[in-house]
Amino acid sequence: MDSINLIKIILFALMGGYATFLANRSIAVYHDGLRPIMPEFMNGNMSRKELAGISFAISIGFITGFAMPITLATGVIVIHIVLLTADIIGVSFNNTKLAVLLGTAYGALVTVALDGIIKGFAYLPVNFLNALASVGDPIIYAFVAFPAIAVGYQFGKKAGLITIICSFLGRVVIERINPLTIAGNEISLSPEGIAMLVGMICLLVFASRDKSRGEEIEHSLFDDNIKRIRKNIFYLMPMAALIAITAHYHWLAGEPIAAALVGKGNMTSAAIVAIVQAIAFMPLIITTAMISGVYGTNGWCDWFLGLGYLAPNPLVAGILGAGAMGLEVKSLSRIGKAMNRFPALKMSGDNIRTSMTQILEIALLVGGVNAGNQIWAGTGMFVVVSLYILNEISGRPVMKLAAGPIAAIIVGVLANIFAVLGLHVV
Amino acid sequence: MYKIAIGGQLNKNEIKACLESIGNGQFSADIFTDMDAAMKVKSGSYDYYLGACQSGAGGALAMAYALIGRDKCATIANAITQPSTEKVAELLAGGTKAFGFTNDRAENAVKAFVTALQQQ
Repeated sequence: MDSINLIKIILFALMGGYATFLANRSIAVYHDGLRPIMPEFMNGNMSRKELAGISFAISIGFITGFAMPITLATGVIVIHIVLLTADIIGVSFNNTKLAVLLGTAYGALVTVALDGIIKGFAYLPVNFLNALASVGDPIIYAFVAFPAIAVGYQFGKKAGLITIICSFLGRVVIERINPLTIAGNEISLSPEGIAMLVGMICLLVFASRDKSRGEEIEHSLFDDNIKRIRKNIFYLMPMAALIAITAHYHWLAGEPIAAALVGKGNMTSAAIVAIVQAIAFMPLIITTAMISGVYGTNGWCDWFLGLGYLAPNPLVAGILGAGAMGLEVKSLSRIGKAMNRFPALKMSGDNIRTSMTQILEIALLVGGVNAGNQIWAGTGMFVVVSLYILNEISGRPVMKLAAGPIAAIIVGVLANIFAVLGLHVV
Repeated sequence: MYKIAIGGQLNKNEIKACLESIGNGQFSADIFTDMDAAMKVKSGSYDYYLGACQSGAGGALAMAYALIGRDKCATIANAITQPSTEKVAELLAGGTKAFGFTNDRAENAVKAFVTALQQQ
Protein backbone atom coordinates (compact mmCIF):
# COMPACT_ATOMS: atom_id res chain seq x y z
CA MET A 1 0.00 0.00 0.00
CA ASP A 2 1.52 3.34 -0.94
CA SER A 3 2.03 6.05 1.66
CA ILE A 4 -0.56 8.44 0.25
CA ASN A 5 -3.28 5.86 0.75
CA LEU A 6 -2.12 5.33 4.30
CA ILE A 7 -2.30 9.08 4.98
CA LYS A 8 -5.83 9.07 3.55
CA ILE A 9 -6.94 6.23 5.82
CA ILE A 10 -5.36 7.87 8.88
CA LEU A 11 -6.94 11.27 8.15
CA PHE A 12 -10.42 9.81 7.68
CA ALA A 13 -10.01 7.62 10.79
CA LEU A 14 -9.04 10.69 12.84
CA MET A 15 -11.92 12.69 11.36
CA GLY A 16 -14.44 9.95 12.14
CA GLY A 17 -13.12 9.43 15.66
CA TYR A 18 -12.83 13.09 16.57
CA ALA A 19 -16.25 14.03 15.17
CA THR A 20 -17.74 11.12 17.16
CA PHE A 21 -16.08 12.51 20.30
CA LEU A 22 -17.60 15.97 19.68
CA ALA A 23 -21.07 14.48 19.15
CA ASN A 24 -20.75 12.19 22.18
CA ARG A 25 -19.91 15.13 24.46
CA SER A 26 -22.65 17.31 22.87
CA ILE A 27 -19.97 19.80 21.77
CA ALA A 28 -20.88 19.71 18.08
CA VAL A 29 -23.08 17.72 15.72
CA TYR A 30 -23.12 17.90 11.93
CA HIS A 31 -26.84 17.43 11.19
CA ASP A 32 -28.63 20.78 11.49
CA GLY A 33 -31.84 18.93 12.37
CA LEU A 34 -30.21 17.13 15.28
CA ARG A 35 -28.78 20.30 16.87
CA PRO A 36 -32.10 21.88 18.00
CA ILE A 37 -33.07 18.55 19.61
CA MET A 38 -29.82 18.22 21.60
CA PRO A 39 -31.00 20.40 24.56
CA GLU A 40 -33.87 17.94 25.16
CA PHE A 41 -31.29 15.21 25.64
CA MET A 42 -28.93 17.39 27.66
CA ASN A 43 -31.78 18.39 30.03
CA GLY A 44 -32.68 14.75 30.51
CA ASN A 45 -36.07 15.01 28.77
CA MET A 46 -35.01 12.58 26.08
CA SER A 47 -33.23 9.26 26.38
CA ARG A 48 -30.05 8.40 24.51
CA LYS A 49 -31.94 5.66 22.71
CA GLU A 50 -34.58 8.09 21.47
CA LEU A 51 -31.92 10.61 20.39
CA ALA A 52 -29.99 7.88 18.56
CA GLY A 53 -33.18 6.84 16.77
CA ILE A 54 -33.89 10.39 15.60
CA SER A 55 -30.29 10.90 14.55
CA PHE A 56 -30.39 7.71 12.47
CA ALA A 57 -33.78 8.49 10.91
CA ILE A 58 -32.86 11.99 9.75
CA SER A 59 -29.33 11.10 8.59
CA ILE A 60 -29.58 7.79 6.77
CA GLY A 61 -31.28 9.27 3.70
CA PHE A 62 -28.52 11.83 3.31
CA ILE A 63 -25.79 9.20 3.67
CA THR A 64 -27.18 6.57 1.31
CA GLY A 65 -29.30 8.64 -1.05
CA PHE A 66 -27.38 11.90 -1.30
CA ALA A 67 -23.69 11.53 -0.39
CA MET A 68 -23.03 7.93 -1.48
CA PRO A 69 -24.08 8.13 -5.16
CA ILE A 70 -22.22 11.42 -5.58
CA THR A 71 -19.11 9.96 -3.94
CA LEU A 72 -19.17 6.94 -6.25
CA ALA A 73 -19.76 9.14 -9.28
CA THR A 74 -17.04 11.69 -8.52
CA GLY A 75 -14.48 9.65 -6.55
CA VAL A 76 -14.43 12.41 -3.93
CA ILE A 77 -15.85 11.56 -0.49
CA VAL A 78 -18.82 13.77 0.37
CA ILE A 79 -18.44 14.83 4.01
CA HIS A 80 -21.91 13.62 5.11
CA ILE A 81 -20.67 10.02 4.84
CA VAL A 82 -18.19 10.64 7.66
CA LEU A 83 -19.77 13.34 9.81
CA LEU A 84 -23.40 12.13 9.84
CA THR A 85 -22.28 8.64 10.80
CA ALA A 86 -20.11 10.20 13.52
CA ASP A 87 -23.28 11.96 14.81
CA ILE A 88 -25.17 8.67 14.94
CA ILE A 89 -22.35 6.75 16.67
CA GLY A 90 -21.56 9.64 19.01
CA VAL A 91 -25.09 10.09 20.34
CA SER A 92 -25.77 6.34 20.55
CA PHE A 93 -23.29 5.33 23.26
CA ASN A 94 -22.80 6.44 26.86
CA ASN A 95 -19.23 5.15 26.84
CA THR A 96 -17.11 7.83 25.14
CA LYS A 97 -14.12 5.55 24.56
CA LEU A 98 -16.22 2.89 22.86
CA ALA A 99 -17.96 5.51 20.67
CA VAL A 100 -14.67 7.10 19.61
CA LEU A 101 -13.18 3.69 18.85
CA LEU A 102 -16.15 2.82 16.61
CA GLY A 103 -16.06 6.24 14.93
CA THR A 104 -12.35 5.88 14.19
CA ALA A 105 -12.77 2.38 12.80
CA TYR A 106 -15.68 3.54 10.65
CA GLY A 107 -13.64 6.45 9.23
CA ALA A 108 -10.83 4.11 8.22
CA LEU A 109 -13.06 1.34 6.87
CA VAL A 110 -15.37 3.54 4.83
CA THR A 111 -12.36 5.02 2.98
CA VAL A 112 -10.97 1.58 2.19
CA ALA A 113 -14.41 0.31 1.17
CA LEU A 114 -15.21 3.23 -1.14
CA ASP A 115 -11.78 3.09 -2.80
CA GLY A 116 -12.22 -0.67 -3.13
CA ILE A 117 -15.61 -0.27 -4.82
CA ILE A 118 -14.21 2.31 -7.22
CA LYS A 119 -11.23 0.02 -8.07
CA GLY A 120 -13.62 -2.95 -8.35
CA PHE A 121 -15.37 -1.32 -11.33
CA ALA A 122 -12.40 -2.33 -13.52
CA TYR A 123 -13.26 -6.02 -13.02
CA LEU A 124 -16.87 -5.68 -14.19
CA PRO A 125 -17.92 -6.93 -17.64
CA VAL A 126 -19.22 -3.40 -18.28
CA ASN A 127 -17.00 -0.88 -16.46
CA PHE A 128 -19.33 2.07 -16.03
CA LEU A 129 -17.17 4.20 -13.72
CA ASN A 130 -16.22 6.82 -16.31
CA ALA A 131 -19.76 7.03 -17.60
CA LEU A 132 -21.04 7.36 -14.05
CA ALA A 133 -18.57 10.17 -13.39
CA SER A 134 -20.32 12.18 -16.13
CA VAL A 135 -23.31 12.50 -13.76
CA GLY A 136 -21.50 15.57 -12.41
CA ASP A 137 -20.81 17.22 -15.79
CA PRO A 138 -23.90 19.47 -16.02
CA ILE A 139 -23.24 20.77 -12.48
CA ILE A 140 -19.93 22.31 -13.58
CA TYR A 141 -21.73 24.74 -15.90
CA ALA A 142 -25.18 24.94 -14.31
CA PHE A 143 -24.06 26.00 -10.82
CA VAL A 144 -23.11 29.40 -12.24
CA ALA A 145 -26.83 30.24 -12.27
CA PHE A 146 -27.38 30.09 -8.51
CA PRO A 147 -26.91 33.79 -7.62
CA ALA A 148 -29.33 34.77 -10.39
CA ILE A 149 -31.95 32.24 -9.24
CA ALA A 150 -31.56 33.42 -5.64
CA VAL A 151 -32.03 37.05 -6.80
CA GLY A 152 -35.13 35.98 -8.75
CA TYR A 153 -36.63 34.38 -5.63
CA GLN A 154 -35.88 37.31 -3.37
CA PHE A 155 -36.25 40.39 -5.57
CA GLY A 156 -38.52 39.24 -8.41
CA LYS A 157 -38.16 37.99 -11.95
CA LYS A 158 -36.90 41.29 -13.43
CA ALA A 159 -33.97 41.45 -11.00
CA GLY A 160 -33.33 37.75 -11.68
CA LEU A 161 -33.18 38.32 -15.43
CA ILE A 162 -30.79 41.28 -15.00
CA THR A 163 -28.49 39.05 -12.93
CA ILE A 164 -28.61 36.25 -15.51
CA ILE A 165 -27.67 38.75 -18.24
CA CYS A 166 -24.76 40.14 -16.15
CA SER A 167 -23.45 36.62 -15.39
CA PHE A 168 -23.85 35.65 -19.06
CA LEU A 169 -21.92 38.71 -20.26
CA GLY A 170 -19.21 38.10 -17.64
CA ARG A 171 -18.82 34.55 -18.87
CA VAL A 172 -18.75 35.44 -22.57
CA VAL A 173 -16.23 38.27 -22.11
CA ILE A 174 -13.83 36.15 -20.03
CA GLU A 175 -14.03 33.29 -22.51
CA ARG A 176 -13.23 35.70 -25.34
CA ILE A 177 -10.24 37.43 -23.68
CA ASN A 178 -8.67 34.23 -22.20
CA PRO A 179 -5.75 33.61 -21.87
CA LEU A 180 -4.55 36.83 -20.29
CA THR A 181 -0.90 37.80 -20.21
CA ILE A 182 0.00 39.39 -16.90
CA ALA A 183 3.67 40.26 -16.27
CA GLY A 184 4.77 37.83 -18.96
CA ASN A 185 2.72 34.93 -17.55
CA GLU A 186 -0.20 33.45 -19.42
CA ILE A 187 -3.16 32.80 -17.16
CA SER A 188 -6.67 31.63 -17.89
CA LEU A 189 -9.46 32.89 -15.67
CA SER A 190 -12.32 30.49 -15.01
CA PRO A 191 -15.37 31.75 -16.97
CA GLU A 192 -17.63 29.90 -14.49
CA GLY A 193 -15.91 31.51 -11.51
CA ILE A 194 -16.20 35.01 -12.97
CA ALA A 195 -19.84 34.55 -14.01
CA MET A 196 -20.69 33.38 -10.49
CA LEU A 197 -18.76 36.26 -8.93
CA VAL A 198 -20.66 38.78 -11.08
CA GLY A 199 -23.92 37.13 -9.99
CA MET A 200 -22.93 37.28 -6.32
CA ILE A 201 -22.10 40.99 -6.67
CA CYS A 202 -25.58 41.59 -8.15
CA LEU A 203 -27.12 39.66 -5.23
CA LEU A 204 -25.23 41.77 -2.69
CA VAL A 205 -26.20 45.03 -4.47
CA PHE A 206 -29.90 44.06 -4.48
CA ALA A 207 -29.74 42.87 -0.86
CA SER A 208 -28.07 46.08 0.36
CA ARG A 209 -30.91 48.13 -1.13
CA ASP A 210 -33.44 46.27 1.02
CA LYS A 211 -33.71 48.39 4.16
CA SER A 212 -36.24 46.30 6.09
CA ARG A 213 -35.52 45.57 9.76
CA GLY A 214 -36.32 42.49 11.82
CA GLU A 215 -38.34 42.08 14.98
CA GLU A 216 -36.60 43.06 18.21
CA ILE A 217 -35.95 40.01 20.31
CA GLU A 218 -34.34 39.52 23.67
CA HIS A 219 -30.85 38.43 22.61
CA SER A 220 -29.88 37.50 26.18
CA LEU A 221 -32.13 34.45 25.63
CA PHE A 222 -29.09 32.84 24.01
CA ASP A 223 -26.29 34.02 26.31
CA ASP A 224 -25.77 30.75 28.19
CA ASN A 225 -25.67 28.73 24.96
CA ILE A 226 -23.14 31.10 23.36
CA LYS A 227 -20.98 30.83 26.50
CA ARG A 228 -21.07 27.05 26.30
CA ILE A 229 -19.87 27.09 22.70
CA ARG A 230 -17.09 29.59 23.45
CA LYS A 231 -15.88 27.37 26.28
CA ASN A 232 -15.49 24.53 23.76
CA ILE A 233 -13.47 26.54 21.24
CA PHE A 234 -10.28 24.51 21.70
CA TYR A 235 -12.18 21.27 21.16
CA LEU A 236 -13.66 22.64 17.95
CA MET A 237 -10.53 23.99 16.26
CA PRO A 238 -8.78 20.61 15.66
CA MET A 239 -11.91 19.37 13.86
CA ALA A 240 -11.68 22.21 11.36
CA ALA A 241 -7.93 21.59 10.91
CA LEU A 242 -8.59 17.91 10.09
CA ILE A 243 -11.29 18.84 7.57
CA ALA A 244 -9.09 21.45 5.86
CA ILE A 245 -6.08 19.10 5.64
CA THR A 246 -8.15 16.26 4.15
CA ALA A 247 -9.69 18.70 1.66
CA HIS A 248 -6.20 19.94 0.73
CA TYR A 249 -5.43 16.44 -0.61
CA HIS A 250 -8.61 16.65 -2.81
CA TRP A 251 -10.20 13.74 -0.92
CA LEU A 252 -13.17 15.56 0.58
CA ALA A 253 -16.07 17.76 -0.56
CA GLY A 254 -18.93 19.35 1.35
CA GLU A 255 -21.70 18.77 -1.19
CA PRO A 256 -22.27 17.56 -4.78
CA ILE A 257 -21.32 20.77 -6.59
CA ALA A 258 -17.86 20.96 -5.03
CA ALA A 259 -17.45 17.17 -5.35
CA ALA A 260 -18.04 17.37 -9.10
CA LEU A 261 -15.61 20.29 -9.42
CA VAL A 262 -12.90 18.62 -7.29
CA GLY A 263 -13.39 15.40 -9.27
CA LYS A 264 -12.59 17.33 -12.47
CA GLY A 265 -9.65 19.14 -10.83
CA ASN A 266 -11.39 22.51 -11.05
CA MET A 267 -10.04 23.67 -7.68
CA THR A 268 -10.58 27.44 -7.86
CA SER A 269 -14.26 27.01 -8.71
CA ALA A 270 -14.59 24.35 -6.00
CA ALA A 271 -13.09 26.75 -3.45
CA ILE A 272 -15.46 29.56 -4.50
CA VAL A 273 -18.45 27.21 -4.22
CA ALA A 274 -17.29 26.02 -0.79
CA ILE A 275 -16.91 29.56 0.49
CA VAL A 276 -20.30 30.68 -0.89
CA GLN A 277 -21.79 27.60 0.76
CA ALA A 278 -20.63 29.07 4.08
CA ILE A 279 -22.58 32.28 3.39
CA ALA A 280 -25.65 30.21 2.55
CA PHE A 281 -25.49 27.99 5.63
CA MET A 282 -24.21 30.55 8.14
CA PRO A 283 -27.70 31.69 9.22
CA LEU A 284 -28.85 28.11 9.78
CA ILE A 285 -25.75 27.08 11.72
CA ILE A 286 -25.73 30.21 13.88
CA THR A 287 -29.46 29.98 14.63
CA THR A 288 -29.38 26.31 15.58
CA ALA A 289 -26.15 26.79 17.59
CA MET A 290 -27.58 29.74 19.55
CA ILE A 291 -30.74 27.91 20.55
CA SER A 292 -28.91 24.70 21.53
CA GLY A 293 -25.40 25.52 22.78
CA VAL A 294 -24.15 22.80 20.45
CA TYR A 295 -21.98 23.88 17.50
CA GLY A 296 -21.66 22.54 13.94
CA THR A 297 -18.94 19.95 13.35
CA ASN A 298 -18.16 21.58 9.99
CA GLY A 299 -18.75 25.16 11.24
CA TRP A 300 -20.69 27.37 8.85
CA CYS A 301 -20.20 24.54 6.32
CA ASP A 302 -17.55 23.98 3.72
CA TRP A 303 -15.36 27.08 3.89
CA PHE A 304 -12.77 25.07 5.89
CA LEU A 305 -12.67 22.80 2.84
CA GLY A 306 -12.38 25.81 0.53
CA LEU A 307 -9.39 27.07 2.53
CA GLY A 308 -7.89 23.58 2.29
CA TYR A 309 -8.32 23.54 -1.52
CA LEU A 310 -6.47 26.87 -1.79
CA ALA A 311 -3.73 26.25 0.80
CA PRO A 312 -0.20 25.62 -0.57
CA ASN A 313 0.52 22.69 1.79
CA PRO A 314 -1.21 20.53 4.46
CA LEU A 315 0.31 22.49 7.36
CA VAL A 316 -1.04 25.84 6.12
CA ALA A 317 -4.39 24.12 5.40
CA GLY A 318 -4.61 22.95 8.99
CA ILE A 319 -3.70 26.35 10.43
CA LEU A 320 -6.21 28.15 8.17
CA GLY A 321 -8.95 25.67 9.08
CA ALA A 322 -8.38 25.96 12.81
CA GLY A 323 -8.13 29.76 12.56
CA ALA A 324 -11.40 29.93 10.61
CA MET A 325 -13.19 27.87 13.28
CA GLY A 326 -11.77 30.13 15.99
CA LEU A 327 -13.04 33.18 14.12
CA GLU A 328 -16.52 31.65 13.78
CA VAL A 329 -16.84 30.92 17.47
CA LYS A 330 -15.45 34.31 18.56
CA SER A 331 -17.85 36.20 16.28
CA LEU A 332 -20.91 34.00 16.98
CA SER A 333 -22.74 36.47 19.19
CA ARG A 334 -22.02 39.53 17.05
CA ILE A 335 -23.04 37.89 13.77
CA GLY A 336 -26.14 36.39 15.38
CA LYS A 337 -27.30 39.87 16.43
CA ALA A 338 -26.46 41.47 13.08
CA MET A 339 -28.31 38.75 11.20
CA ASN A 340 -31.55 39.36 13.07
CA ARG A 341 -31.29 43.08 12.54
CA PHE A 342 -30.90 42.74 8.75
CA PRO A 343 -33.36 40.09 7.58
CA ALA A 344 -32.47 40.69 3.89
CA LEU A 345 -29.05 39.11 4.55
CA LYS A 346 -30.59 36.09 6.19
CA MET A 347 -33.17 35.77 3.42
CA SER A 348 -30.32 35.78 0.87
CA GLY A 349 -28.79 32.80 2.65
CA ASP A 350 -32.13 30.97 2.53
CA ASN A 351 -32.63 31.80 -1.14
CA ILE A 352 -29.09 30.72 -2.11
CA ARG A 353 -29.84 27.35 -0.54
CA THR A 354 -33.19 27.03 -2.32
CA SER A 355 -31.61 27.89 -5.67
CA MET A 356 -28.62 25.57 -5.17
CA THR A 357 -31.00 22.71 -4.38
CA GLN A 358 -33.09 23.38 -7.47
CA ILE A 359 -30.06 23.64 -9.75
CA LEU A 360 -28.76 20.35 -8.34
CA GLU A 361 -32.13 18.68 -8.89
CA ILE A 362 -32.06 19.59 -12.58
CA ALA A 363 -28.32 19.17 -13.16
CA LEU A 364 -28.21 15.74 -11.51
CA LEU A 365 -31.27 14.58 -13.47
CA VAL A 366 -29.68 15.68 -16.77
CA GLY A 367 -26.39 14.13 -15.61
CA GLY A 368 -28.16 10.90 -14.66
CA VAL A 369 -29.90 10.68 -18.04
CA ASN A 370 -26.61 11.33 -19.88
CA ALA A 371 -24.70 8.82 -17.76
CA GLY A 372 -27.42 6.18 -18.22
CA ASN A 373 -27.23 6.70 -21.97
CA GLN A 374 -23.43 6.41 -21.98
CA ILE A 375 -23.55 3.19 -19.99
CA TRP A 376 -26.18 1.56 -22.20
CA ALA A 377 -27.01 3.62 -25.28
CA GLY A 378 -30.73 4.23 -25.67
CA THR A 379 -31.86 1.70 -23.06
CA GLY A 380 -30.13 3.68 -20.31
CA MET A 381 -31.96 6.87 -21.20
CA PHE A 382 -35.30 5.08 -21.18
CA VAL A 383 -34.60 3.43 -17.81
CA VAL A 384 -33.40 6.61 -16.06
CA VAL A 385 -36.33 8.73 -17.27
CA SER A 386 -38.91 6.09 -16.33
CA LEU A 387 -37.40 5.39 -12.89
CA TYR A 388 -37.20 9.12 -12.18
CA ILE A 389 -40.89 9.68 -12.91
CA LEU A 390 -41.90 6.49 -11.07
CA ASN A 391 -40.11 7.91 -8.01
CA GLU A 392 -42.12 11.12 -8.37
CA ILE A 393 -45.42 9.22 -8.67
CA SER A 394 -44.70 7.16 -5.56
CA GLY A 395 -44.19 10.30 -3.45
CA ARG A 396 -40.36 10.38 -3.68
CA PRO A 397 -39.11 7.50 -1.54
CA VAL A 398 -35.70 8.55 -2.98
CA MET A 399 -34.73 12.22 -2.57
CA LYS A 400 -35.34 14.15 -5.80
CA LEU A 401 -31.64 15.12 -5.91
CA ALA A 402 -30.43 11.54 -5.78
CA ALA A 403 -33.01 9.95 -8.10
CA GLY A 404 -31.05 10.59 -11.34
CA PRO A 405 -27.66 9.33 -10.09
CA ILE A 406 -29.22 6.26 -8.42
CA ALA A 407 -31.13 5.44 -11.61
CA ALA A 408 -27.82 5.65 -13.53
CA ILE A 409 -26.21 3.25 -11.04
CA ILE A 410 -29.16 0.87 -11.57
CA VAL A 411 -28.60 1.06 -15.34
CA GLY A 412 -24.95 0.13 -14.72
CA VAL A 413 -25.94 -2.86 -12.59
CA LEU A 414 -28.53 -3.98 -15.18
CA ALA A 415 -26.00 -3.61 -18.02
CA ASN A 416 -23.63 -5.92 -16.15
CA ILE A 417 -26.28 -8.52 -15.32
CA PHE A 418 -27.50 -8.63 -18.91
CA ALA A 419 -23.93 -8.71 -20.25
CA VAL A 420 -23.27 -11.80 -18.12
CA LEU A 421 -26.52 -13.36 -19.40
CA GLY A 422 -25.40 -12.60 -22.95
CA LEU A 423 -28.42 -10.35 -23.56
CA HIS A 424 -26.39 -7.14 -23.75
CA VAL A 425 -23.42 -7.18 -26.10
CA VAL A 426 -20.78 -4.60 -25.19
CA MET B 1 -59.28 33.42 7.10
CA TYR B 2 -56.08 31.87 8.43
CA LYS B 3 -52.88 33.91 8.58
CA ILE B 4 -49.75 31.85 8.01
CA ALA B 5 -46.19 33.03 8.68
CA ILE B 6 -43.69 31.21 6.45
CA GLY B 7 -40.32 30.75 8.15
CA GLY B 8 -37.85 27.90 7.82
CA GLN B 9 -35.13 28.07 5.21
CA LEU B 10 -36.09 26.56 1.87
CA ASN B 11 -38.71 26.90 -0.89
CA LYS B 12 -40.59 29.73 0.85
CA ASN B 13 -42.07 31.08 -2.41
CA GLU B 14 -43.33 27.60 -3.31
CA ILE B 15 -45.00 27.20 0.11
CA LYS B 16 -46.71 30.60 -0.25
CA ALA B 17 -47.93 29.79 -3.77
CA CYS B 18 -49.23 26.38 -2.61
CA LEU B 19 -51.04 27.84 0.40
CA GLU B 20 -52.74 30.44 -1.74
CA SER B 21 -53.76 28.11 -4.57
CA ILE B 22 -54.82 25.11 -2.44
CA GLY B 23 -56.24 27.32 0.32
CA ASN B 24 -59.06 28.59 -1.92
CA GLY B 25 -58.92 32.15 -0.60
CA GLN B 26 -59.16 31.04 3.02
CA PHE B 27 -55.44 31.42 3.63
CA SER B 28 -53.15 34.42 3.50
CA ALA B 29 -49.42 33.81 3.81
CA ASP B 30 -46.36 36.01 4.22
CA ILE B 31 -42.67 35.19 3.95
CA PHE B 32 -40.30 36.08 6.82
CA THR B 33 -36.98 34.97 8.24
CA ASP B 34 -37.44 32.03 10.61
CA MET B 35 -36.96 34.31 13.62
CA ASP B 36 -39.49 36.92 12.50
CA ALA B 37 -42.01 34.26 11.52
CA ALA B 38 -41.72 32.58 14.93
CA MET B 39 -42.08 35.94 16.72
CA LYS B 40 -45.23 36.80 14.76
CA VAL B 41 -46.90 33.50 15.66
CA LYS B 42 -45.80 33.83 19.28
CA SER B 43 -47.27 37.33 19.50
CA GLY B 44 -50.51 36.14 17.90
CA SER B 45 -50.44 38.40 14.85
CA TYR B 46 -50.22 35.22 12.72
CA ASP B 47 -52.03 31.91 13.38
CA TYR B 48 -49.56 29.26 12.27
CA TYR B 49 -45.90 28.83 11.33
CA LEU B 50 -44.79 26.69 8.36
CA GLY B 51 -41.16 26.02 7.41
CA ALA B 52 -39.10 23.73 5.20
CA CYS B 53 -35.50 22.55 5.21
CA GLN B 54 -33.65 19.41 4.13
CA SER B 55 -34.45 17.50 7.33
CA GLY B 56 -37.84 18.96 8.24
CA ALA B 57 -36.61 19.78 11.74
CA GLY B 58 -33.38 21.84 11.74
CA GLY B 59 -33.69 24.90 9.55
CA ALA B 60 -37.43 24.40 9.36
CA LEU B 61 -38.18 24.58 13.08
CA ALA B 62 -35.08 25.67 15.07
CA MET B 63 -36.33 29.20 15.79
CA ALA B 64 -39.87 28.01 16.41
CA TYR B 65 -38.50 25.56 18.99
CA ALA B 66 -36.71 28.40 20.76
CA LEU B 67 -39.43 31.06 20.60
CA ILE B 68 -42.83 29.33 20.34
CA GLY B 69 -41.85 26.29 22.43
CA ARG B 70 -40.94 22.75 21.56
CA ASP B 71 -44.31 21.31 22.59
CA LYS B 72 -46.05 23.47 19.99
CA CYS B 73 -43.81 22.35 17.09
CA ALA B 74 -43.95 19.20 14.95
CA THR B 75 -42.23 17.73 11.91
CA ILE B 76 -44.97 16.45 9.60
CA ALA B 77 -42.79 15.12 6.75
CA ASN B 78 -39.18 14.07 6.43
CA ALA B 79 -37.00 11.84 4.27
CA ILE B 80 -38.91 8.73 5.39
CA THR B 81 -42.35 10.01 6.44
CA GLN B 82 -45.05 11.27 4.09
CA PRO B 83 -47.33 14.01 5.43
CA SER B 84 -50.81 12.84 6.43
CA THR B 85 -53.98 14.88 6.97
CA GLU B 86 -54.98 12.75 9.99
CA LYS B 87 -51.65 13.35 11.72
CA VAL B 88 -51.87 17.12 11.14
CA ALA B 89 -55.48 17.19 12.39
CA GLU B 90 -54.38 15.40 15.56
CA LEU B 91 -51.55 17.88 16.07
CA LEU B 92 -53.84 20.87 15.46
CA ALA B 93 -56.27 19.53 18.05
CA GLY B 94 -53.34 19.19 20.46
CA GLY B 95 -52.41 22.87 20.03
CA THR B 96 -49.44 22.62 17.64
CA LYS B 97 -48.64 26.01 16.10
CA ALA B 98 -45.52 25.35 14.00
CA PHE B 99 -45.10 22.69 11.32
CA GLY B 100 -41.85 21.65 9.63
CA PHE B 101 -41.24 19.44 6.60
CA THR B 102 -38.56 18.63 4.00
CA ASN B 103 -38.36 20.86 0.94
CA ASP B 104 -39.11 18.11 -1.56
CA ARG B 105 -42.33 17.23 0.29
CA ALA B 106 -43.45 20.86 0.60
CA GLU B 107 -46.45 20.62 -1.71
CA ASN B 108 -47.91 17.49 -0.07
CA ALA B 109 -47.23 18.87 3.41
CA VAL B 110 -49.10 22.09 2.60
CA LYS B 111 -51.98 20.04 1.16
CA ALA B 112 -52.24 17.97 4.35
CA PHE B 113 -52.07 21.11 6.50
CA VAL B 114 -54.74 22.98 4.53
CA THR B 115 -57.09 19.99 4.38
CA ALA B 116 -56.73 19.34 8.11
CA LEU B 117 -57.50 22.98 8.96
CA GLN B 118 -60.51 23.10 6.62
CA GLN B 119 -61.94 19.96 8.24
CA GLN B 120 -61.89 21.59 11.67
